[in-house]
Amino acid sequence: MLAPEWMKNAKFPFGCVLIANRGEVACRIAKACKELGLSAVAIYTSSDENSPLLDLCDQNYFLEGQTLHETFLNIEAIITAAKATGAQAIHPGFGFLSESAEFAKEVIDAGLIWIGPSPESIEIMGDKMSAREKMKSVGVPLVPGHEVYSTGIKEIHDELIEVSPKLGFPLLLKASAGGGGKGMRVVNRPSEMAEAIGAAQREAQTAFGDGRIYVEKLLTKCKHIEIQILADGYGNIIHLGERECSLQRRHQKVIEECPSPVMEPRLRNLMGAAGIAAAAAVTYMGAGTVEFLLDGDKFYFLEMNTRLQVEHPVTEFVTGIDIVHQQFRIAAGLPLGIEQKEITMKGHSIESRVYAEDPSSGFLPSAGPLLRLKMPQGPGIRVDSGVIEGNTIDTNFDPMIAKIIVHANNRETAIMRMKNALKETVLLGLQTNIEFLHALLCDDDVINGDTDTNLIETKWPNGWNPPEDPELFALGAIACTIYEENGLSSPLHSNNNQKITNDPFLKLNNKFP
Amino acid sequence: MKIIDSNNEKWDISLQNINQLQSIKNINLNDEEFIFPETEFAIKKNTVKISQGGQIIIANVVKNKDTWWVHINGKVLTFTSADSRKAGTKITQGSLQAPMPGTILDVQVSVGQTIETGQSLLVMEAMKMEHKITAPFSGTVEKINCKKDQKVDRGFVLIELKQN
Repeated sequence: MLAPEWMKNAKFPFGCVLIANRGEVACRIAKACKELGLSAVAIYTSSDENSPLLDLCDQNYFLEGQTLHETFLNIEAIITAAKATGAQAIHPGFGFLSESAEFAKEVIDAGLIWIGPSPESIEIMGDKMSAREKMKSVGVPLVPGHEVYSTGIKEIHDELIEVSPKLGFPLLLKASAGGGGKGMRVVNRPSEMAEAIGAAQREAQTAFGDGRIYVEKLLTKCKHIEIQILADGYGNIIHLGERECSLQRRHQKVIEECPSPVMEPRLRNLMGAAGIAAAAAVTYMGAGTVEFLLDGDKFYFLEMNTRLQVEHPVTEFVTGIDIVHQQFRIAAGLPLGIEQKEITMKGHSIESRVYAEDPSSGFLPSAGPLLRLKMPQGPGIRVDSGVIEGNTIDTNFDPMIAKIIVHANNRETAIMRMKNALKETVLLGLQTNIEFLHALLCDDDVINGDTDTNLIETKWPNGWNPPEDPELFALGAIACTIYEENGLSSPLHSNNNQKITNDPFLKLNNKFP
Repeated sequence: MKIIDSNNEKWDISLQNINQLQSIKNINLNDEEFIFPETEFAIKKNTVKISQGGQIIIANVVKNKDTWWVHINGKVLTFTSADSRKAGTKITQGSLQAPMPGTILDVQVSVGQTIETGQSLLVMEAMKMEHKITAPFSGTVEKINCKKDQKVDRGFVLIELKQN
């Protein structure tokens, strides 16, 4: 496959990209490939046979196996797929192998182009302790904490007890190889320390095969603010401003926005510069995100995600820069065509993550068929999704079904637009968080931008229930009765009939000789 | 038609046809008449169009097995048929149901074992999230209906306990 014309001066041109992912992010990357004149290869399993991704890609490669380790986490199988389909580059998306230094290395060793940072950058940032050491060395502010290098429980315990008065309780034990809340333990007082160390170590060992832990002061009432970075292979690094992602449940983001309602230019410059310094410290290349906790006007490095981020569309709306396009340009060895001073932020963007989960049972996962699916449309609305009506959401994968992203002139209008977009979204057949997302955008603290990472669990510790509304239930019961008594209960059948009788164009067509 | 909503309230709706227009004859909520404003209905494509006080609301309805899913104005409601509910098995206090669909990772108890309040009995996993099923009271394990690696639906009775 020939490289597209825009790559003619590139150092590492490529024409065909394998997308080592599934669902919405794979679809988003496949569309970018189409726009850029690149050929796209999908990998898929028996769970993905009806995925819209397969129609968006030029080639589909079937992965044998049932478990993730046999399929989307199988480095060897994915590289074999790339070789078999003639792909010259691999885009990992997010999740799965996107932050595996080993995968990046294997891809490069196989003579393929890795669309992402070097294995070394991934490795340093992936290990939270080495990332902290690195950040300390370049002066990026860290959450006050202590890295533990002893191994025995007693030694670790004594070491942590010794440093704890300096940090102050509550403390947070974290796994060095960590992520996703695994291997994390809150310690409120010295007497809880011994048990928490054991639990955190065991959990880290099981989840990551690496029991090393470190300790941070537990900061509460903080905002999660992250800086989007773009870096080419020639030492040019810019930032695309911040995203605020304070609204989270179980350490997973729910609603993100750009810009942050509390950001002002001076702080943005400081945080942007810290983000650039963090990226420079690991000679970063590609798109990446440096996450910080913001406490008043003090900010602390949390971690760097060395990949595309779920919430990247809000930055794209506000800056007008397509981050996936930039990833392809950078991987092809083209210099960044944008300078920091050219970056402007226009309007306000909000993203809502539609999850397969039941807010009333504490946001536990749900599953089921997408019997009806109508996503919102209109000015300033973008939907990134990887499913179509008739697909089934099962419990093998991530609960995220789709992302709804809006853009407007200001935050107030963006909130109104998002609320209406959520109301328009019809998703029937399984429980989702759509109504909860709407309720969240009606909350006074959210409207005022007065949010922190504990807001959801503080306000709704046991989950969220919709307000009682007997008239609504009456309407629902009536609608069911009408539906049933008019014989609409076979949806596909009636759908087809309606298409034939109600479509004016079909009727017109019939009149042509 | 008699149906039950997600709060376990019983609805009984009768429709009538006057001059080919469908309207409501009466609505009962838990066997008492429910007063409802004047409302007109029409079927449009595969949705139900409701007009009430000059406002038009579109209801999307689909049915899967015994459950109706209804979307009205951004809100989703589910109803089940009154007949299917009667036929369902009785869930007793000691029957621990799966709170989510998923896979059983570990069964930590065996039949006949005595257990204490809060003791972890079973771990299940869905969408990369682990969830522990703990004992709501002290007692004995009467029956275990699942095994490691089994996939279960939400509501599946995992373990049956007998309270002391």
